[in-house]
Amino acid sequence: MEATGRVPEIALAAEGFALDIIDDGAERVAVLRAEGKLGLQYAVYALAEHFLGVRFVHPLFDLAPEVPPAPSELHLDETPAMGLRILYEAAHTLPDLRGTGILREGTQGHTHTTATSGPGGGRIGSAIMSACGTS
Amino acid sequence: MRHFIAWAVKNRQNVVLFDDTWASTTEFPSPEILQYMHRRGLKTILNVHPGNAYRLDPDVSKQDLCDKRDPRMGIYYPVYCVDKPGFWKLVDKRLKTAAKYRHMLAGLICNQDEGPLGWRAEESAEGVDPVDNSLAGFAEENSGTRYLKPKLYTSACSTCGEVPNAAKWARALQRLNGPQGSVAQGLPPVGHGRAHCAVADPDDELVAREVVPHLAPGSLSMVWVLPNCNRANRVESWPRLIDEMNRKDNGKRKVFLLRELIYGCSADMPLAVPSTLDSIDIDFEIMRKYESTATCAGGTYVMHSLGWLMDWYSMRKQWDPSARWQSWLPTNLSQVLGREAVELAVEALELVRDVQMYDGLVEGEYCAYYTMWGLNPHHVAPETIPLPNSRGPFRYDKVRGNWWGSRRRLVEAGARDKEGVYTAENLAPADRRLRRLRGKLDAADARITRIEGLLAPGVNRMFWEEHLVRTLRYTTAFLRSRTAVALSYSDYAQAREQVRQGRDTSAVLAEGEKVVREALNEQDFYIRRRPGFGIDYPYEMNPDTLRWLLEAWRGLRQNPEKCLDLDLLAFLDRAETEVAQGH
Repeated sequence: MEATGRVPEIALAAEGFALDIIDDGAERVAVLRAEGKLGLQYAVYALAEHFLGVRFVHPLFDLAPEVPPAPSELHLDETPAMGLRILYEAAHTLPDLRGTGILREGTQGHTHTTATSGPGGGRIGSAIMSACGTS
Repeated sequence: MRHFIAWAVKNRQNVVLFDDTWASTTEFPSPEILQYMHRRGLKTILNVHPGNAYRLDPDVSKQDLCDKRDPRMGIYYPVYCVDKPGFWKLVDKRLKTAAKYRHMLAGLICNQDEGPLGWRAEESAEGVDPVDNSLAGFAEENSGTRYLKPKLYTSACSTCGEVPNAAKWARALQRLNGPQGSVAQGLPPVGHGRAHCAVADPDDELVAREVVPHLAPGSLSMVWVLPNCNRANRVESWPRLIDEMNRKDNGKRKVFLLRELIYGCSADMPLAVPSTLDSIDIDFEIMRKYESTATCAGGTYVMHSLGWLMDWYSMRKQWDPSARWQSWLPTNLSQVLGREAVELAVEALELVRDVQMYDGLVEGEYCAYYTMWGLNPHHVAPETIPLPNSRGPFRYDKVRGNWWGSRRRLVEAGARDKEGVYTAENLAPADRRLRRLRGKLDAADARITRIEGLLAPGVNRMFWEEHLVRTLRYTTAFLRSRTAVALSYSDYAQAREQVRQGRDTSAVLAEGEKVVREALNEQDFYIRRRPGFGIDYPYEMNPDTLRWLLEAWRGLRQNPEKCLDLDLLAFLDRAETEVAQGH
């Protein structure tokens, strides 16, 4: 795709990613390029954010708008500002469940992601949820 | 837990760090969780210090402990002596376990849990008034211009021979990074884990000067702060000195700030602390000046207290720190909450933050621990009622119960206003400030109501009700409850003076009864309806005391001259005492 000029050439940083959505009239294609295992996952979630409007606000709840933005064109190239990015688990969730009684190992969360179809949006949305799961 | 781990990836993190990792004998996190993290591509940081001996490790004995407890300890934990075999037996054990996860280590640290955390440190301070500086209350006075000056360079035990704290940690680093240390075992070099809770500036610099020279090239260190009183300017000596070291030997040492965004161990109340959002921004501004800064991370109790928002913002800030929270929120939440509702939420958060910080009176996250908020007129108006040598009757350690779960008293047992400090004139500035704060709470509540009206029906409405509207509403109820009680203090002082002067007291006594009733109603509202928690919060005001006060105010309206019997402090003390005695 880079060779044909359909997506711009880029040099990805460690754990960086690029996300392009291209619409040539016949079909809409999402192109995900990433550096490493994490970068690729970031790219998939970024697609959910930018195409479906999903926001990963809470460990148990992904929120999405009723009408996804579903842009026909998108070009993103993201590089992390900080090489180390830490989520600090300070709630003593395991093993004695101090802090919260809900985040329990093996418990199914109530995920509220909705892959509502916009114009052409359902196809990509379904693929995201199937590839990554929602948790 | 897997949801939590996945949440990190969704929000572009590459490390999950667990609080109190191996703090005592707890194996945490579990191998299954670490395996799942590895599959997702995440790394972690492990603590290889023996930690505390809250639960004595089965491989060591009591003889391995330091026999002198303060102030090297945390709250109540004994620690292992660096010169006893048990210390190194545990280090070796932890290194061996760490080796199993060497493929996913972002770093190793020592001393995550052993630090002079401030509480108890004051006991050994020389020539310093011990002030409120304890787990749930040290933010009260250890802030702004009222820093403690503890002497933390104190001795250890009879075995290690009066080794100052920092020297002990330096000695541990020397060996951990020595010929038989972690690198020789194929592990990363070991950095230092600085526990910085309420330690005064001079001490922090002293500790950093002693420890930093022993940090191995390539090591990753941590400065950990609680969600109160300190912003990154209090710990700048660490990145600054590490930068200096790196310039000398190109050692590429790194350090990160780890902020516990809300205290998560059930000790404080599950209420919103919006000043934390400011702290995330301020920490970044300060720490990014230094090349050695790896990141400013945050973490919190995720279910309530707006913990979801603070964690979420902290994660995204590490990916892209360009925006402050006030502009970041509309950009990132408008699609799922609606732009108007988000803007109202930002305004409500700012208003609550202003109240939390006493309308700009305090610096830092002074009130992140709400436990003591609003009830000490010395804090509300220090310009007129200066802290009386930190021995005031409202002082934290005089009114708290035990550590966990007990209700607080309004005033020290046996308190009397012998010096006539609590006059209507002295209390007037506090009264004015409290009324301004109450006005801001009204404004916040108006915005919360408008947000609720904007929420469309559907599943997301449940989320916003639970995680935004209720949290903010209960927080304003809490703050209003405390404000109302404090307002009754000046009413009482005024009533006494008016009785003495033979003036009509009906208005001020009616006001006193009204604000105490308001306090009881508001406290009842947030205690009883708060989801997911017990009826009582630790350190809460005793509702029976408020009921006693309400009855007393009703009685005063019938017999105003009765208030001459008791000064303000005696009045509050009597309420607590009689309730405790079952009257």
